Amino acid sequence: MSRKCTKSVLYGALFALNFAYAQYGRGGGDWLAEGADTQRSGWVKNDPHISVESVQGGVMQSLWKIKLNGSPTPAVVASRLITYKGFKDLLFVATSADNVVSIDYVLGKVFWESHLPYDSLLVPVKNGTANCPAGMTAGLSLAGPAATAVVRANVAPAPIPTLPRPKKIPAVVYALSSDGLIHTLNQHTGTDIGPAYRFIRGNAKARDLISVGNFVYAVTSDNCGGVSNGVWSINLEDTLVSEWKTGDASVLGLAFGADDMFATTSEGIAALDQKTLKVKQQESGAFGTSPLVFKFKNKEYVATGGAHGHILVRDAASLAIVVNIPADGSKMLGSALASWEDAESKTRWILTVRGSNVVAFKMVEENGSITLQQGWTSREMVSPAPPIVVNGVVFALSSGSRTAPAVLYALDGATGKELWNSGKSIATYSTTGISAGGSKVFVGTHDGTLYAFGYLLNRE
Amino acid sequence: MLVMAADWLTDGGNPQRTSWQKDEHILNKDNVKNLKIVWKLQLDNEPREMHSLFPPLIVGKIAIVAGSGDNVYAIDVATAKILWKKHFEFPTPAKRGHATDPLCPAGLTATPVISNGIVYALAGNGEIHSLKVADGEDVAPPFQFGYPYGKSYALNLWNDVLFTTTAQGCAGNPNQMWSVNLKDPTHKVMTYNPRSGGLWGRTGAAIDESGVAWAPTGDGRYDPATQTYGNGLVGAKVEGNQLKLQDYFIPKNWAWLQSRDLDMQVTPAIFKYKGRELMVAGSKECRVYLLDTKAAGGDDHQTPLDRTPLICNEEVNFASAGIWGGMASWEDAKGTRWVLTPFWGPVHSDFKVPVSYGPVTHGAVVAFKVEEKNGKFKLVPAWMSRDMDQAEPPAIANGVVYAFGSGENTEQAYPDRGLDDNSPERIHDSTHAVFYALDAENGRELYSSGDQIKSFVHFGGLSVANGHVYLGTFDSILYCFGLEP
Repeated sequence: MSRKCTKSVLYGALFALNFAYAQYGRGGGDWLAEGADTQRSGWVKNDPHISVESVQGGVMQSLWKIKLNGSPTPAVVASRLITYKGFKDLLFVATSADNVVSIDYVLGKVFWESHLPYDSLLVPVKNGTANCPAGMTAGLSLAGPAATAVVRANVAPAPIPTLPRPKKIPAVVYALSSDGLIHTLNQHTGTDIGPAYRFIRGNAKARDLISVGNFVYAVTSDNCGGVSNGVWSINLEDTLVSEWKTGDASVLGLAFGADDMFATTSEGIAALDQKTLKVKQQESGAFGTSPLVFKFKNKEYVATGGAHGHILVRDAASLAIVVNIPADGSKMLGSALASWEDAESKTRWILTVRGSNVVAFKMVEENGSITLQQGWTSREMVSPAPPIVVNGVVFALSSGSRTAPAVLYALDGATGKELWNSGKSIATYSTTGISAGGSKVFVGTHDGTLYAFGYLLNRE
Repeated sequence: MLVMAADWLTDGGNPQRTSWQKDEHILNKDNVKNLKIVWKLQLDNEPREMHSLFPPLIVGKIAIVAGSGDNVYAIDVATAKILWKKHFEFPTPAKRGHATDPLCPAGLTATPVISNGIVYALAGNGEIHSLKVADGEDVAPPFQFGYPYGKSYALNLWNDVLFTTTAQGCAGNPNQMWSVNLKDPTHKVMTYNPRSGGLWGRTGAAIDESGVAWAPTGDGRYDPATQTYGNGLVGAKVEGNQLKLQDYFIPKNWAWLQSRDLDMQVTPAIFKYKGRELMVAGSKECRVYLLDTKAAGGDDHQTPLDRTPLICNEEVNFASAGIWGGMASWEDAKGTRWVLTPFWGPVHSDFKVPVSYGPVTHGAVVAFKVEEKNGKFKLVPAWMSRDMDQAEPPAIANGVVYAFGSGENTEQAYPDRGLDDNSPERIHDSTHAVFYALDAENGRELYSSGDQIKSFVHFGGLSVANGHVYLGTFDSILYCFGLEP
């Protein structure tokens, strides 16, 4: 007796899976979307092999590189998938050529590659500009949590698992193609599990794609392709699209708190209802980074970077500014922040690119008020990408330039001490930033090459 | 008239699980081209999940066949008449594997063993029955030797000690090695637990000349500090009234095997070579390991005497590729020691073998010669058989390798559903077994049963004795191949 699944049944099963999946967390250091999680912490909290000690001991190795068709977006990572071709540890990247590629990140082999055909009456943009690049622009998102509970503060990470629980049922990866359709791809095969839905007008510059529950979100900027700047969501149950238009203000990014979602634009910050995108609160100001949500002393905060280099921490409930760190001269901040908490000292760290350095700040409570104390400053880098954190190790990428190839650095998250660097492993400059998962850090370069560094599992 | 000179008293032919019938004098490489089905017998055994008939045991003129429906049959091999049948009755156990799960059938799962005219059979309720070969009568009261529906693997017997292994945690049964001394009036059950995944070598444990029972361990960690021995091979021996770990081997890449579910799950074959006792084992990764039973893995327990390159499983698949079941070994008249392994799926593109017979996409049998030079042992590839649909452990007799492709659908995961290992779908998608006779020197096909076998084989196996080769199929038909009377 052969059993067949209808697409609707499959959709239901996959959504049910996504919900169930969120109930026990994403073990094994998976990387959900740009910024790692819904809070955009840029932090892999549980990794069995990466630590300050292990990096000092030489765990970081250059593992593989793969040339892709088109410039890759930051990788998202899902480990321990039981596929019809065996257990796989996969990363997924989109490329500017409207391709989605799955790579077995342990073996460094392409597992599947899907081209998302352009399906719009709008003429596709073949040659983009620096401001409005052609093709697929948004990174991918794995099926996200059903709710947006903020990372617990002051709680030690769960014991490091030896191996995460295998995932028995295919989850999905969401991809926003350049024609503006949202695709729901089977992680095991790369095929659409149902029809792709109209989400955003084609040829937009979209980013921060992320799935939460049955909604998928993205932001648009620079009016590329004539598309309104704004925050967008689609309810995959009824395909209803919601939008918060921001006029001339480009949206820089969005992050999720326990109740609201926060979006920064070039002209302000807003707290939005997660389902309707209705503005609940907003404050004006020139911003330069996407928001970062974190908890400190059981209270939720939103950290952002100003367009002119200052760092603001706001009370997530009121958007009132509680910390304002002035700019350091004319040094600009990067496009995103990162945050992690030291499991032992309970120190909450905020990381940012400032000028040519990565700078780490500590959250400190003094006399009932909080502030940011500058902790450490990294070495000089060329156009550093937003840093990320794996356990307590900060990874920073000197993105390089036409004359200087990118270099990946591992720094002690508590001291900034350089623990390792990738030397000359990367051949050219990076435009895509970094992400991590499965005890590895992934770097994409402008020529479409994806590099992997990290723990080498003995396969022989 | 048949001359009953050969027996096959245990799964794999002997306690060492070599599947080598040394006493076969009727079939040879010159006449096996004339093999035919001399009889086939429909038994009334009820298949359970994908399991049905287990490898027949042969003692004189009688074949003893156990079936998943808690049956044991005695069959006159000359006439194909059932001499007696024993059906084990017991109250339905409280626990069982979930319906449609092929891993945990609710019934008899262990091939019995015969000694001194007594069949020792492990019923689905975990009781050992001691039956007279001659008439099936109980010669002693049954006693408990495991959990009901606990999925025990083939029984083995050594100096009155009965062994089995368990896997998949069926019905709450721990994954471990089990033993009981038949001479002990209390029938104290002795166990050794390697704290690993299941010990699911098809023919249970193989026993070396020291009485150490060797069994592969399934996915799990290797941590000697906590006596955790996953993804390896453990050897345990009865000392006093306890079953104690004696030695173990863990591949250096055990973490990789664990991460991709490529566990060691092949019953080893143990044999003598140049005065030493060696054994071979394999894994779903698709390598064969050569080990010394006196120091498996050397001082660090991780250094085999030799290890082959990857034979198959380039895809790194946990389900339908790799080495499954058991190994085999024999020695030819010139003193050459041979090792045989079956494998599933396509041959690895980097695996080189001097003699082969066309593309291999579904599985095959590979033969290695054991060689020693200056104290270094090697497994040297000699030949690879023709393509077989899920090649199963072979048997060897009188210069002929008997092999079969099970025809079983072995898929456990699907593109749209992921892991969904279920019996109904696999049964539906299975085809039929094909039985082959090969020249043991070069792997050349001497005989094929073609389409004569109508069903597939799951957990069945070959037995060879006195001019006959036996194989039971899922539809509970026992086939007997031989020459014209």
